[in-house]
Amino acid sequence: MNTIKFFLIILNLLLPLKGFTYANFIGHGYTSCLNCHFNPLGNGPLNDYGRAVAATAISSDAFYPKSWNEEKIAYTSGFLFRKPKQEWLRTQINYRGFRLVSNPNGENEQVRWINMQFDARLILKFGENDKFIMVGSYGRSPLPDPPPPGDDQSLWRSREHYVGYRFTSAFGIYAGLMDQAYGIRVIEHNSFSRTLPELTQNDQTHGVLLHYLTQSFEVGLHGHTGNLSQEKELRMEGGSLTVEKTLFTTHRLGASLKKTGNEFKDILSYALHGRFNLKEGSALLGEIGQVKRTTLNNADEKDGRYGLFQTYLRPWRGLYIFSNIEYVDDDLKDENYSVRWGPGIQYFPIQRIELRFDLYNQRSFNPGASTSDQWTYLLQSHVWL
Amino acid sequence: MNYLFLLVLTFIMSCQDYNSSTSDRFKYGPLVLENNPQFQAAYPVIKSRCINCHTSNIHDVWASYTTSAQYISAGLIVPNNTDDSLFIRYIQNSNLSPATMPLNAGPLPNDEYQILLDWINGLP
Repeated sequence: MNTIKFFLIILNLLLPLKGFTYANFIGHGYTSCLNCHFNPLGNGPLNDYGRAVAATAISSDAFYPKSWNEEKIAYTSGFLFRKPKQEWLRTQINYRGFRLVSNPNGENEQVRWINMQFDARLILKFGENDKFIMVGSYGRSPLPDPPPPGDDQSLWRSREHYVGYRFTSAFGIYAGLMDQAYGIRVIEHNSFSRTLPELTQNDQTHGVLLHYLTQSFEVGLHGHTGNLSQEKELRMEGGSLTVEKTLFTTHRLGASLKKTGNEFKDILSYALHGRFNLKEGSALLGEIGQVKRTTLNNADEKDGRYGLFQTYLRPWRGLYIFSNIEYVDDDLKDENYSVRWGPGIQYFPIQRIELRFDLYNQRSFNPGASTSDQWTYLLQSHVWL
Repeated sequence: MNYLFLLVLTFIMSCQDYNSSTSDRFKYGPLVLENNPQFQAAYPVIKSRCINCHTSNIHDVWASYTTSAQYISAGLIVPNNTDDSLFIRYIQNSNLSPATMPLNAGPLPNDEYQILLDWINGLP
């Protein structure tokens, strides 16, 4: 029990985040996120198998002694490179920071370093096949600048904490603060197509998730109570549903529906998505969706549409070359829309380290005019222990 | 069980409390604007052209600004001085530096731009 006490103290001292999920790893044959994550729909802490996969299939082996085989590399994938001493406790620490450069070399160049994620995660798991789990994260994550209204926003937050019980390998129930069951969980914190359906990195909700998984189907039905730490009038209550069907054993085609609302607005969102295994770690991801937003104060309705497409190519182990295209039209009536696209490189030189470069070009269009190119690049480092 | 209770309490008391709905009261709720006709004329322009982005979850929170004084204290405008007002300098119509806004559209219609100038020039 001293171990629990120790980690409770650490949780209160350490800085935070949100966990990220790499939906493109369907390119390695992992159709379901439950293979590698405790959360059945992805994101958040990795299970033991997920850590081993991250250390072997995902990360480069170029910097290991030639005498190390895959088994030995996987053996060192535990917290602080150690094999866990017990089955019921797992811990993880994550840091993600990046240098963000807007309008590089332009008159309005802006350079910032952002500590995006610094969190500790604790997992308690019991029973055969870890059928009962308790998952929590706590850490430090940035607020907008200047901060949002009110004086109760803290940099120190828990973005997820939930309990889960799998009655069988096919069916489980999860309750607590989690990401919403909807569409593809992409890792890009700045993915602007996620703003329209309100699926950003901060949009977790308390609620109950029912998860059903077979070889050919996966279903997540999620009841939302909103974020209980918010005032009641702001909580987005409702529910969401996501369904995925396995195609030709290695691809996934899915659909999602979400209906949520608070005292100010209602959101009805629906989407189709696909994740396609291009073999050898390469993958193609796509999601298109439509969002109806109703402002209750004046019954104003806006229909918006978004699209997200990503390709990941793996020329060799540890390296991914990707492209990202996003489209957002927040009001179909006014014919204005924005497009952002760009290539990037993601490199896992060794287990626990991810280095990433993203280049973005954003333009907005309307019938009368369009903006000039807006360029941004991002140099990111991600370390997990 | 005491440790378990402490663990649950730690997470619940430290919930993520900032998200896409945080500013809904200001974005979608009934607003009480400053009793200044020029600001009341300018506000719909600001709301339609600026606030949509400047109240996103990674950006500023202009939706909570309902008085000229809040724009002044935020360093966005200088009373009766449009050339030194950052708010104006950023608008493409101004032809001042950096003149990049609205980022996702072309210049404002001239009548809307003039409403913004009148608001700032009318401030004592």
